[in-house]
Amino acid sequence: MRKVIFARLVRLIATLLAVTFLTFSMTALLPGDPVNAILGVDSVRDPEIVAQIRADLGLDDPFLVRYVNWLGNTVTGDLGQSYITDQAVSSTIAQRLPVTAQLAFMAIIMALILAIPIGVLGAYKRGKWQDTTTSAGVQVALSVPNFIVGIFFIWLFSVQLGWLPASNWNRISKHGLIENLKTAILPASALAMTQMAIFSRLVRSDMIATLQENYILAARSKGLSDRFILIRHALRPSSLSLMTIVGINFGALLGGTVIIETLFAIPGIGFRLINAINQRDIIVIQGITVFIATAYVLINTIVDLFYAVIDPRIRKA
Amino acid sequence: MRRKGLYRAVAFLAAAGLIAGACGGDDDSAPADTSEETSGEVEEAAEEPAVEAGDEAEGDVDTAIEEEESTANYGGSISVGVEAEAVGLRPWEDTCSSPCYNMANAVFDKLVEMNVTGAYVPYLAENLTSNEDFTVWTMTLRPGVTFHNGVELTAQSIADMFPIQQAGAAGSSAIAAANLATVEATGELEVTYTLSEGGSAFPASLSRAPIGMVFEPAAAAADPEGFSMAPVGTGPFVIDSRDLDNETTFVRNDSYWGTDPDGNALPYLDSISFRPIPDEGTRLDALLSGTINAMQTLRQGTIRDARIARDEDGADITLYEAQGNNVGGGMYNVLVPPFDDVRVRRALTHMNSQEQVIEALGGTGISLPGTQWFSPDSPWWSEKVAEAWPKFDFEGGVAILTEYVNDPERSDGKAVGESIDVELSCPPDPTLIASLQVIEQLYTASGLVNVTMTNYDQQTHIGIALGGENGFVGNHQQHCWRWSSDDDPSVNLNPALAPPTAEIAEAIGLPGVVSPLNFSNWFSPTAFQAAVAATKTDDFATRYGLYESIMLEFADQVPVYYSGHTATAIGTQTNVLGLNSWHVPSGELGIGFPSAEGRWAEVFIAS
Repeated sequence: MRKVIFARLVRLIATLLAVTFLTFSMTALLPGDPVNAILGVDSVRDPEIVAQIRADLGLDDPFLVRYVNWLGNTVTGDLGQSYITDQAVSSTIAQRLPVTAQLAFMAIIMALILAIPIGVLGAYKRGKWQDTTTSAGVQVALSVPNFIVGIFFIWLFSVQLGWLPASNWNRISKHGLIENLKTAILPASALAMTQMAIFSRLVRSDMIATLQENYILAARSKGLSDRFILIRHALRPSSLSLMTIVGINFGALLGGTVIIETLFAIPGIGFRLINAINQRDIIVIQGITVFIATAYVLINTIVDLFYAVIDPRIRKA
Repeated sequence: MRRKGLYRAVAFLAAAGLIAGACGGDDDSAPADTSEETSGEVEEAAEEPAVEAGDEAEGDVDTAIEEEESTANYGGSISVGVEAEAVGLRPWEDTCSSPCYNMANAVFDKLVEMNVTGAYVPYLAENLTSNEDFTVWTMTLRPGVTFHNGVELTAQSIADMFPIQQAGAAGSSAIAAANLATVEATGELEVTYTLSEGGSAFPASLSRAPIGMVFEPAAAAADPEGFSMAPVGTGPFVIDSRDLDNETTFVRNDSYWGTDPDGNALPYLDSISFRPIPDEGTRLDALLSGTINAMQTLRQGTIRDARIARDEDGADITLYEAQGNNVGGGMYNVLVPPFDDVRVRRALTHMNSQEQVIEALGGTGISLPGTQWFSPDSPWWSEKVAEAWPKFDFEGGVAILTEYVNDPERSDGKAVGESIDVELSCPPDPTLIASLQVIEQLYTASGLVNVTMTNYDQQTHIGIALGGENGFVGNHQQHCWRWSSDDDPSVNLNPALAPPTAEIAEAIGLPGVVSPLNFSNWFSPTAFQAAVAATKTDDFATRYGLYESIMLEFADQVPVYYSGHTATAIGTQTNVLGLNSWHVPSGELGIGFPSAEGRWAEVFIAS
């Protein structure tokens, strides 16, 4: 097991190094001068101010020097400071992470609540109308981008029915849990649709395979009820791969809520990232991108290790 | 569905991550100038306007600025959706655009405001006069005004603001543009501004955030970064909480100095909060669903959707629309062949269908076609210029271009009969791309133009036009741009008319007088002299004549071209009133809501 952990950690570090290098390279390659973004067209008025800002930001240093300096600061937790808002990137992330995490968590829970019964039903009624109907619904959910779903939800639940707010975020600390959930439910639902489709297809295909196993036939021959067999004997072994994909998708959602957060004006990490891109706030773009990538890789690694813990075949592979 | 959901979804996908605001942005520069002239009070700056701002011009879509008939109520709170978060609330430091001004107007007062006629009049200042050559301006502050932290506003406060403004990114640029040399407290409430070069448009500088918005200097000096989260001004509202990218809330300033014309204390509302909602459709939906009580938009597509919601779906909203001087379109880089030949510029402008471009931009019936740097609502608008501007005349354009193409001396060095090359460039906004395609199809249909279309993000687009690396000639050809603003004409025109390169400045005997903000690189000694002369007088008729002559020269030489004026709007629920009837302290109506910038002190909720 130690070997597994060591190997995973080495892979993790290599991946993170690659991610940081790519992130830094890509933001460095963006066209335009960051100083123009700070000063706008007024940057042409005073070359001394421009030179000062360039020096302060180290923009005149060679690329590798800038990368190493930035990496050195990043590994110590100093992601820099926005030169547009003067805010520390780490505190920006700390303020916004709970919002994005709540959205991702709610989306995953809502997706699971829908996906498991749909997947089980599809597997149990394989080839019958229940299966074809749910499969078609799942296919639609998978095909329609979540921002389209979001726009539809706003139109239906906010404009037409007036049940829920169309935008923004009520913080629990200021508005209480109920008001918070009112602003969270639509974006989380929009995010949940795709996840639900992925999860339900996984559950269905896994369960179809499981239901062919001899021990299921044995359970049936013992006269156990279908519900008992499905939940106790079929779903449990199938849930291993489901938990894996849930973990991975939670990590992906931390960086995958950009469009939904922008659509619903939710002050999460994605919304801040979009604003930073618009403002050419490179320090913030780099910081948030590295954070998202790190979170994703870390969660993947944890899921890998978790998988290895509970499945000896992987540990030995 | 009321809206074309799929269209919006596709547009959202394409536009995600883009700021689709103005290409050019406002600038506050003023030229170097040398001469003398008269003095006068600020109120006289726009006397006898040819057309009063707010008048209805033909095809106008504006909301009239008028006295509110309903009786104002005290109390209540409103939430306003703005298109973006304010970068910061430090007037001296942060670039303040329309969303920012909505917030800043709640917490800060300006020294000078614009009244309904477009004249600059004292606001937090009580009086502002200049000497004869406009180099020394003496301002008397309103007495009895206190900052939100209880500190009294005195002339020394204004003087103490100056070093902070000098050190700030926004402030230093504004100070340089205004040629402001010193600010001194010359009395308890008397401030003296000294300019290195006199300019009659100086009051315009005092009406914008960088040097016009009054902040508490000690609080700003004590914690410059923190000030953005907890700004201290003299405005009608006091900061309550600031949750970046989500909600900024201001509560009533019980000690506010301002009153309505009947002497009632302002503001009327208990609190006001601003919520950044970048997606245009969501912002409108938020208003329609009651999630917010008011919203701003600078997009004609949103105005169109809001009108449909109001007129066809019966939504309970009021739209306060404004037609700004800011006009879309673009420029030709006149230092690059073939655009150095006026025949090419004129031909391409004739071949460019304004009507189709405005339609592609979604502005039909919303955005008025531009012919100059002033909208028909502006006191500076000229009918003579409107008539002189080269209109869409495809055949006429082809004829002029054919003449150039067949000219053995053609400036681009190509063989006789060969098509000209044109690079059309815009930021990658979907509507801008659609408008580019209209122009591309028209040009291509002539058989005389090889068109290349490019799209770069906004910062790069600006950088290409700036061309810092090639002596500010730029690397652009035909380049999308926005022109003008609702500020004094000199603010935008003077830097756009000054010599664009050191060589040109040298050649006309004005070494060192170079403006990188002359993006089209077109230079006319007569236009430049007229622009300078207009800053040396405060006589409206004289200034009007000078700006008209400049615009007529534009119509003749065509360094720039236009699509439509910028339509902006603030939409409110119908019970939110008072937005179009705020007053300056003299009791006159204010300018209203140009650029979707609201003033909130006199806004109230009808019972």
